[in-house]
Amino acid sequence: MLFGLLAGTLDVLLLRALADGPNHGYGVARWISVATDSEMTVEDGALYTALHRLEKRGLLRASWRRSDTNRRARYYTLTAKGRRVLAEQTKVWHRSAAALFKALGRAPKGAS
Amino acid sequence: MSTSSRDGPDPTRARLERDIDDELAFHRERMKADLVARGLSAVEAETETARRFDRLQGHRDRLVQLGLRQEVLGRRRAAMEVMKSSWRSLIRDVKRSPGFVLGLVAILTIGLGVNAITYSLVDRLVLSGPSGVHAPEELRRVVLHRANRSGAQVATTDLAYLDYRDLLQARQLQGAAAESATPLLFGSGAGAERIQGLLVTATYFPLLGATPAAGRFFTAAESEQEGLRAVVLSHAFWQRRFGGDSSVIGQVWPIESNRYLVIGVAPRHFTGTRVRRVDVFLPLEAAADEQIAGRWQSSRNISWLEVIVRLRSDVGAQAAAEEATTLHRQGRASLPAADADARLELAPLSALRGATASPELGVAALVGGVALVVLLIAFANAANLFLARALRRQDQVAIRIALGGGRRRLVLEEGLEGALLATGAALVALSVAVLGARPVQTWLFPDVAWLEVPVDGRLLIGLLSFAVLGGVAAAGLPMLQVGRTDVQGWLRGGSLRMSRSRTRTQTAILVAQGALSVLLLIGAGLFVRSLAHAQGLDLGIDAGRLLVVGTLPGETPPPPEFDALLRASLDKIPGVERTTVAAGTTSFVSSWAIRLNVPGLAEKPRVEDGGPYVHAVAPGYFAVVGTSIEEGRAFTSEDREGAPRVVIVNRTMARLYWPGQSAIGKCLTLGSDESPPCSTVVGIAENARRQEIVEGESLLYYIPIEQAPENLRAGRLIVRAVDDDPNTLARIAETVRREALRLDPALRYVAARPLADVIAPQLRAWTLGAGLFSVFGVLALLVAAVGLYSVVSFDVEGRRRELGVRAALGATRATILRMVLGDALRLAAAGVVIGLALAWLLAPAIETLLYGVPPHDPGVFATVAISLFAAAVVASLLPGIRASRADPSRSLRAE
Repeated sequence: MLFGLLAGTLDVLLLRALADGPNHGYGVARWISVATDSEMTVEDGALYTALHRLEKRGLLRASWRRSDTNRRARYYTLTAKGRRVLAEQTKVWHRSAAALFKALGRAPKGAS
Repeated sequence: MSTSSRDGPDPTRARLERDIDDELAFHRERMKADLVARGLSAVEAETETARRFDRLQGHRDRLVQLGLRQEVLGRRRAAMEVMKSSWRSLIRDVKRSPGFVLGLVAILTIGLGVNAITYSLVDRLVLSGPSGVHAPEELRRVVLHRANRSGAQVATTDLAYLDYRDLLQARQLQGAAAESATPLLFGSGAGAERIQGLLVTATYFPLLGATPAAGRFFTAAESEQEGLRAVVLSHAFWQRRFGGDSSVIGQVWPIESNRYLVIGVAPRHFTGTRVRRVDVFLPLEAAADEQIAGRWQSSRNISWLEVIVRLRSDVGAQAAAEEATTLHRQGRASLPAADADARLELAPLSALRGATASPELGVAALVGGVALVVLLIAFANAANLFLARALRRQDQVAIRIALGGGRRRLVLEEGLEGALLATGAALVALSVAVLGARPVQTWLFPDVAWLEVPVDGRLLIGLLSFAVLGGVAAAGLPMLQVGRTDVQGWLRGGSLRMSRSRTRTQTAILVAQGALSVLLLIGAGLFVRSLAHAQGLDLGIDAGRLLVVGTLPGETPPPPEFDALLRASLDKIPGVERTTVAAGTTSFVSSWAIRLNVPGLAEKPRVEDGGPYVHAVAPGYFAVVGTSIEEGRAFTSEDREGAPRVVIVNRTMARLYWPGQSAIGKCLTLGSDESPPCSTVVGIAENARRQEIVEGESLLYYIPIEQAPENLRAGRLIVRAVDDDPNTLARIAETVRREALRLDPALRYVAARPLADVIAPQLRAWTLGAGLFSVFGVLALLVAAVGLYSVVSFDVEGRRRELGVRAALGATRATILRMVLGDALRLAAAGVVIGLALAWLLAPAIETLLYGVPPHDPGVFATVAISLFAAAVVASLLPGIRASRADPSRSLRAE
C-alpha cells in the first residue's frame, strides 16, 4: 500500500466493486487490489466494518450463498439506493480528482 | 443491548457472532488459498494469514456491535412498515367499502357503548361501594331471623329502637348506629319540595367514618333533646338548593311541620350505607315523629329502623354475631311472645341474595349479563364481517403468500387494521356512553344518587384496551384461517377461483348469534308478559284516572269551607269527571286502623296483611274511585251524623268474618268508646288494593266520613279524570295547585299526585326488564339478521357457477330459491335449538323477577322461535331471489 486511503474513498470503492455484480468480502478486497494494480489495499478489518455499515445504510444487501468453492459465503449486492449513491459519488470524485490534478500539475514558482 | 442475559446467551447475538465468524473464516481460507497459489508454502501462507488476522480479530467485536444495532433498527423499520401498510389498507377500505367500515363501527359501537354504560352502572352500584365511608368492608347490616305468627322463619332488617340500644352494649363490635329513610317536605309555599330524608343516630357519622364537608354533625344530646332540631344537609342537596353557600349553616328551615337548624353538610357523594339519594340527615330520636307515631322508644313491636355495626379487626364476624344474638335475646326475654330462637345475622351492607339483597344489585347483575351477551354478538359479527372480507380477498392473500409475503406479517397487518377500526369504534362508543350514561342511569335507577361524572377514566382505558384486543382478534383470527389455505394447490389449480362456500367458522358464528338473540328475546318476552300481567291486574280501583290532592296548612289556618270551595271549583275544571273526599286508608297512599269488634265473635280472623283497615268516605266515593258494590248498597247523603250507623265491608272481610252467611245486616262496633253502637253492614265492596299492586288479601271496610271519629273527619280530595291520558292528569294537577293557592295563599304545600305515578315504581322491575330485554333483543336480532343476509349473499355469489349448472340442468327458480332459503332456515333452526336450550336452563334464574308467567312459558318460547325463523326468511329472501333470477348462460360464460 503506497498511501493510506483518503477519507471516504473506501466506501465509493466498495460500491464500485459491487457494481459488477454480487460478491463476498474477500472478492471485494481482491477486486480493489486488482483494479488499482495493487496500489491500494484495504485493511481487512476496515473492509468488513465498511461493508456492514453500508449494508446498514441500505446501500448494500447481504445474503448467504454458496461460493464457487461451495463454501457458505456472505454475498453483498448493490441496492438501487447504492447504485444511485455510487453514481453521485463517482461524479464528485471525478471532479475533485480533476481539481487535484490541476492543482498538483502547476509548476512550482521559480522552478524553470 | 442484550436483553435476555438472564436466559443465557442472547440468540440474536449468538447468530450474529456465528455469521461474522463464518464470514471472516471464509475470508481467511480464501486468502490462504491465494497465497499458496502465488507460490508460498503452506506454512508460510499460514503464518502470513495468521499475522494479518491478528488485526482482523480486533474488528470482530465492532462488527458484532454494529450488527446488533442494525438488528434493532431493522425490527423497528419492519414494524413501521406493517403499521404503514395497515393504515394504507384501512384508508383503502374506508374508500372502497364504506359500508363494511360503517357497519363494523356501528356494530362495535353498540356492543362497546352498551357495555360502557353498563359498567358505569355496575361500578356505582356494586364495585365502588358507598362513597365517603371508611372501610365499608368492616360494616355489617343487622338481619333478624325469627319465627312469624304462623311459625315460619322470616328474615328482616327492620328492628325496634330498643333492639338498636341492646347492640350498643356489644363488646365485640366497634359500635352500632341506626338509620331510617323517609320522604319529607322541605321549605314552604312555592319553594316547598319533597325530599328524601335519612334519620340517623348520633353514632352514625362517626361509625361510618365520615367527616363533614362544612359545619359539624350531631352531638348525642342534640340527637335526643327536645326543642329546636338540628339537620345535616347532603352535599348534593346543599349544592342544588343553596348553590354550596356555607352561610346556610346556622339558618333555620321548615321540614314537615317543624323547624330545623342547619348545622352541617355531609361529605361529597355521601349517601349513608346505600347508594340511594339522600337530601337531609335528621337526628333519629329527636325527629322520629316525622317517620313514626306511637311508643317507639319503649315498644319492641314497632320495627322501623335498620341497624349498622362495625366489626372489630381482632374479633371474628361469627363471635360478634353470637354476642349480638345473646344481647338481642336478653333484651326480648321479658316479652310474652318472645321467640327464644331468634338470631341476629351480621350481613354485608348489600348483597344479591338474602335479607340485605338490594333490587339495584339484582338489576345491575342482569343488565351486566345482557350487555355481555350483546358484546359477544357484536364481536362475533365483527369477526364474521372480517372473515367474509378475508375470504373475498383470498386470491390476493394467496398471491402474497406465494410471493413470500409471510403469513405472520399478513396476520399482523390485519390485526393492526382491526385494532385501528375497533379503536375508532371505541371512541365513538365512548362518546355515546358519556352522552347516554346519565339518561340511562336515571331511567333505570331514579332513586340512586349518581355521581356528577357519569363515566370515569378507568372505564376509558379499559374500554380502549378491550376494543383493541377485540379488534385484533376479530380481524386477525380470520386471516389465520385464510392464511392456512394450501397456497400451492390453489395456485397450481391454474385459476385463482376457488370454491367460495361458507367456512365452518362462519356457520358457527351465525348459529351462535341466532342462539344469543333467542336468549335475549325470550327474556324480553317473559318480562313483557309479566308487565302486561301486572298492568292488566284488576286493582279494585281505577288507579289510572285518579289524582290524590294533599295540602298542608301554613301559619294561618285555611279559611273555613276551604275544602268545600276547592271541591266546588275543581268540579268545574275541564278534564275532571267527579271528585270525592276520603280519610283514613286511601289505596296506595295511606293505611289506618281503629278498634273494631264483632259482637259474638270471640276470635277475629286474621290475614298476613294485618288490619282491618278503615276508609272514611263521602257519598259517591265508590263511583269516583271505581270500586263496585257487589252486594247491598253504597253510601248516600242520608248516611250522615246522627243517622243509623252503617258500614260496607270488602269481599275478603265478609267471607272471613261471616263464613257461609251473608254479611249484610250484620253488626260491627267501631271506636274505643265504652259501648259503641252497632254499625250495620249495608254493602259488600269488591276487593281493592291497599298499598301494593301485588299483595295478599286485605281486610278493608268503609264508613261514611260524617259518622267517622273526630280524627277521621279531615279527608283528602280524590279527583277522577275523564281519561287516563298523562297530559290530562298533569293539566288537572297544575290547575288544582293554582286553585288551592288562590283560595288560601298561605298554604304551606299543595300537590295533586296521579295515583299512576305512585304505582309506577312498583311496576319498575317489569318495565325495566321488558324495556331492557326488548331493546337488546331486537338489536341482537337485527344484527344477527344482517349477518345472515351478508353471509347468504356472499354464499350465493360464490356458488354462482354451481347454481348456473343446476339451472342449466333444469332446476326451476323455485327450486333454487327453496335451496337458498332452506339453507338459511337450517342455520336458524340450529340457533333456535341452542337458544331455546340455553333459555330453558337460564330462565329459572329470573323467576323471582317475573309475575304471572312461568319461566318456561311455552307461548313465549314458541313466539321467539317463530320470530327467528321469520327473520331468517326475510334475511335470505333477497339473495335467494337474486340467485334464482341469475341467467345460467351468463354465469357459466363468466367461467
